[in-house]
Amino acid sequence: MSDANTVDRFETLIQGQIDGVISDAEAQELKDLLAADASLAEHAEAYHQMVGLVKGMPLQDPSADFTNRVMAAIPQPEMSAASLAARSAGRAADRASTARGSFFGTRFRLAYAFSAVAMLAVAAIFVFQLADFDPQGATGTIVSTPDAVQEVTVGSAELIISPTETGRQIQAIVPLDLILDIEVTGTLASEEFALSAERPLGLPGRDEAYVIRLTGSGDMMTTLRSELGEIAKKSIEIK
Amino acid sequence: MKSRTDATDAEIVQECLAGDRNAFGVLVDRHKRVIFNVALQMLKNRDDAEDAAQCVFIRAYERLGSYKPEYKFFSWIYRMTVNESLNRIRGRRETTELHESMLVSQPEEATKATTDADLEDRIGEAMMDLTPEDRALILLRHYQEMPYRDLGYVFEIPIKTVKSRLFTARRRLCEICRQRGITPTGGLA
Repeated sequence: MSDANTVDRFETLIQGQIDGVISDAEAQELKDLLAADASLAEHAEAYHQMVGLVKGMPLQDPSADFTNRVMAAIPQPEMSAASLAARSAGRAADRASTARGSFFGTRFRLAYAFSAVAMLAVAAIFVFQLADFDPQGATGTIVSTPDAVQEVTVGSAELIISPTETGRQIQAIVPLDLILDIEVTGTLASEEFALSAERPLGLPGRDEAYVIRLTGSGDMMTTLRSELGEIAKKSIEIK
Repeated sequence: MKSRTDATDAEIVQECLAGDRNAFGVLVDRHKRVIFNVALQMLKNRDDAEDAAQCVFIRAYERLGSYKPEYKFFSWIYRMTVNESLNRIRGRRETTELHESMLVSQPEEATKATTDADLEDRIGEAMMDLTPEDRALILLRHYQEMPYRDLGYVFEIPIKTVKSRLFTARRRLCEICRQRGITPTGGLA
């Protein structure tokens, strides 16, 4: 049978012929190619017939309610990253005025916006606010559930932030089945910072790397990265 | 003003990203048939294919923010479909044998129709003897007329490999047709 380059060229030429975009010179080249190689000529004949058959092959339709089921399963608008970001921005200014001091010890607030999706695509939003942040254990209550769906199936969650970041991104492994987005805002040494994380893959039930984006001044970023390394691993109970 | 149904996929994606969730329904309606059939060709099971297609659309919606319009939207979701289907195939036990009732069923009337329609049905059945990847490749190339470049993106292989795989897949399909005695006028066999 023909070598890879011949096959490649044949494929290009015959496809051009089918698509009607082949030049006269290419048509002649194809003709010569087929004349020189009987197996290619046979293939070309079968090709044309098969393309016709495949094109005419009846496609089946999905269920009539397919679109409705998809639309019912996709997250509600309130769960979108954009809306979460907007909410977070609103909270950030207020939070920045009240949260002062060092990263540990004094009042420090983190706000986690968790978008949760159950396996059956039942969705819920929890705004998880932690006051008096304690590095030895972060426990808090759901303080706002504006659009929450009633069902809570997660009992605990784990946030692992690796200090092996580069630049202004930190890779964080967050093995939470149900979390889609995380937002953290606050201040460190009187400087505002913000973290946000987006789950790159949407399906629940997978351990995936989040990319956490940090914004803030250069000095603060250095400190923050160090402190985040201390946080490293923390269990968060969702009550 | 351009109606939503006239809008390009890229325009609708922008509407979705701007917060119009319902716009996504247009994309689902537009692509569900081929997505479903690609999954069906690969999974051989209607329920699995429908479930896979649904997962693909849900994931696509969740990932719209990361979609980069270097490739067409449908190439992007076809890639997800191929990956989703392959993941499901890998998840199946090798010993699992599909019951006849689970196999892709063609509409009864189609088998009673004209000779051409019969041939089309039979080539559909013959395609089931190809590998899942080859079935999807042939379907996307020859039914959806997807360009080589997009096929390369969907299957994550170089264009040259796309061509050689297509060549091999078609040759294999020809052989299967011969074995099954599928002989259209002029004869595949």
